[in-house]
Amino acid sequence: MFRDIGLRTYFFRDIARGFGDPATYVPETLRQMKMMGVDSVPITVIVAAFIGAVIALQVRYQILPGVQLSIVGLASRLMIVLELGPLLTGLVLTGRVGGRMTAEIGTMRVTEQIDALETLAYDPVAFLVVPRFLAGTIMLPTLAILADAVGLLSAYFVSVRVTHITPQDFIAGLRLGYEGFQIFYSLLKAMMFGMAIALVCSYEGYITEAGAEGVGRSTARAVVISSVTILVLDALTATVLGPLLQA
Amino acid sequence: MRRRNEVSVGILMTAAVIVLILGMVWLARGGLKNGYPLHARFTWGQNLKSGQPVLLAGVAVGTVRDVQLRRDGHLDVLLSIDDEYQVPKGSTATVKAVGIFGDVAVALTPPLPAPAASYAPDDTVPTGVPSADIDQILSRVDSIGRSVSVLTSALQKEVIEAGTFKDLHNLVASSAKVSAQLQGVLAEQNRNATATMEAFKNSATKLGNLADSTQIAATLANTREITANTARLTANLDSTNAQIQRLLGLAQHGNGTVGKLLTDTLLYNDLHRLIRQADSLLADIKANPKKYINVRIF
Repeated sequence: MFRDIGLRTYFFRDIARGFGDPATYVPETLRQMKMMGVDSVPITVIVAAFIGAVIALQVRYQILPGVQLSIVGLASRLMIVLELGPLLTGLVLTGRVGGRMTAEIGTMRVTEQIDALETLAYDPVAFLVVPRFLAGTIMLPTLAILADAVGLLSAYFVSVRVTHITPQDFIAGLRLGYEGFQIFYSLLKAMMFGMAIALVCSYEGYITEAGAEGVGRSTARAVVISSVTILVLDALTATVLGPLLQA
Repeated sequence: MRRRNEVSVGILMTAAVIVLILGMVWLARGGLKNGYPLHARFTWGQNLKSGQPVLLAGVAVGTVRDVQLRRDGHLDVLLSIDDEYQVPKGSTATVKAVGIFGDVAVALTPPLPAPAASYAPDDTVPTGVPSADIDQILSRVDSIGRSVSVLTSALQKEVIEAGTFKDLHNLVASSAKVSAQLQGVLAEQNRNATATMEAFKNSATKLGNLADSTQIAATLANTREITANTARLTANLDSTNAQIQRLLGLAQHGNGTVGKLLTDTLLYNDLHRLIRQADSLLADIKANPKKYINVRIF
């Protein structure tokens, strides 16, 4: 266990060192941003739309008679912006992007491409990990913004069209008790999830051993560890920053 | 390829930033429209913050743009009113709770009757009398509770400790006794009433038997005769009355001597003239008696 901690510490040190070589990671960063961000827009939008719709329906049908209907807008905003927008985007991208990341780097490791880069005096961490880390840090909040917006729009349309809540009620609830910090909280969480996905998946790929089987094992491990890390981070942020969200 | 990546990433980032900024502004300010500003100052504005609605007679006409706490403890509130709405001059502003989730709104209450003039941009809306909040209601409930407590202790003292409750109990027992006595009296009265009714029935039967006797028959015959006489007298009176009516009618129409006396003015005029002549004659006699009375003895 201590060896693992030491190895990860060295890995983080290498990443920090890699930031000093922009010529190596900047071009690759754009490619990774496109892969992680632009290519993930459809799945993010689909997931967010369905989550928004389901939240609106569930809240509408679970509230007791007599409760003011604007609670549907309020609950939709709180659940999507504070929790499900960034969390589900993170979990979806863990499967879609994290697994691919581990498999790519792991394959490069087992086919000795990383060794070749070192031989050519390329810093493999600056070339492979730093761009993914930057892309994850930037693109996860970007996708979380889209997820929040699409989720709320979906909740609005389902509430108004299906459950016949008036637009005024929904919008009144949406604005009820709004604080700018709630958006900051959502983006901060998404950023942390992006960093976690990039770090965990890159590291698991970077230390892959034992051929194709090892790549498969590393990929599975990376997805599991990333998902658990995201959930742990989610709980931690709720514990640490939750009191600041109190109305 | 690299250029395409840059463009697609740029588009996504720009879209996200635009959505973020517009969404935050829309949520925080209650919309993207710019209205005209009005000011208000409150001594208490619990949970009041920018983006909350401004209601005019209950209709959302704008939003709270800014809330500033002054050094003297008052709140300076900047309201943004949508351009299509006018706030009548003399309207007052209060902070009102909206719903059950602790949200508040600035309520503008127009005066009655509503004046033609409206507030101009940057005018200050005077503060109205706020409605009772939960604390005030709770304090009133507390005071009612205290009164009830005082009342209860007084009742405890006066009714239970002072023996009033025991007296009441005795009173109820006495009432029950009196009621039983009254029931006995009523039963006795009922028996008496039954006996009286029986006696009345017997008397009525006897009276019925008496009606068949000759004395009663004679009395009844006399009564019938008196009735017939009275009818005749009434008929005579009717005929006399009719004759008098006819005479009066003739007199009224001036027929006959009496009628002429009553209606013809000629006699009246003659009499009037005669009296005047007599008056003048009398006056002349008084003035010149020797002209008419010439007494010679020798």
